[in-house]
Amino acid sequence: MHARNSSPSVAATVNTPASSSGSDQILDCKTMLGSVENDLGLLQELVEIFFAECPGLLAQIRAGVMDSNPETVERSAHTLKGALSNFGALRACEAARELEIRSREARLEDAAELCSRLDAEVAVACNALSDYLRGVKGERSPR
Amino acid sequence: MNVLLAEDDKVQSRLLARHLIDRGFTVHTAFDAQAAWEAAEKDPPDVILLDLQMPRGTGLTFLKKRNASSRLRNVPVIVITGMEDALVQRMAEQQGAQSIFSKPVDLVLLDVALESVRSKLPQHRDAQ
Repeated sequence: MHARNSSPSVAATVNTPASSSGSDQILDCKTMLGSVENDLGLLQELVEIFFAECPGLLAQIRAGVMDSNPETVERSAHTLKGALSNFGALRACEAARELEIRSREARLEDAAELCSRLDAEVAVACNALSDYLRGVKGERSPR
Repeated sequence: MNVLLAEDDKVQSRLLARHLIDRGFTVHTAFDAQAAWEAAEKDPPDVILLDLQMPRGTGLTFLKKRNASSRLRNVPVIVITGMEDALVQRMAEQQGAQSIFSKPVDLVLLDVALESVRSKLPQHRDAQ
């Protein structure tokens, strides 16, 4: 079992300069650490799972948009949204949610742009997660 | 207590599994509706944590099949869902879901729901 750690102090690295709350937020550290009950070992494990799953889900979404297959897009966007919500990745979550809703309403004609936005937001969230974990490891390593 | 965790989001699945294992539950995971059904039929759990939207079937069809199964009819189902549609949640309730949790799941309330299931298990009642 992993030891429970106190919240690290690098939370500021995952917010946009303009805003640190609401839908502008890249990661919500409070949500993220709350999900894992401050267990950074578990957080690292979850991030690794997410990094492994994410490319496949994005590929399914892109293929579903190209093939005008709303069921595939809805299911994959829904799963991706759920995974992102565990990290409080609000902007990426919102993009996935928009695609999910559009798919449910079978409105995928011009979804390619939204798909690109989702790709970009997920990439930003992934970078922020990597930075966050790097920062935490830096704080914990002996000086 | 044996818990079948049916959830296709592997991050959410690992997170919930870890929480449940830490609390002494035995957890079996399934990542799609068909796999969950096969696991439940093979070895009926004490409780099922069920996502509503999964590949190879849905949580709602799972609930309907469970209601028709003499083997699984009495196994309590707790729904965990990211679907915001109130109608879908009501349908799950009508299909016999014991409780419904929106994601991200409030783990304290989930513990309460699971404790309620545990307190009704025959072996738990016998032990008291």
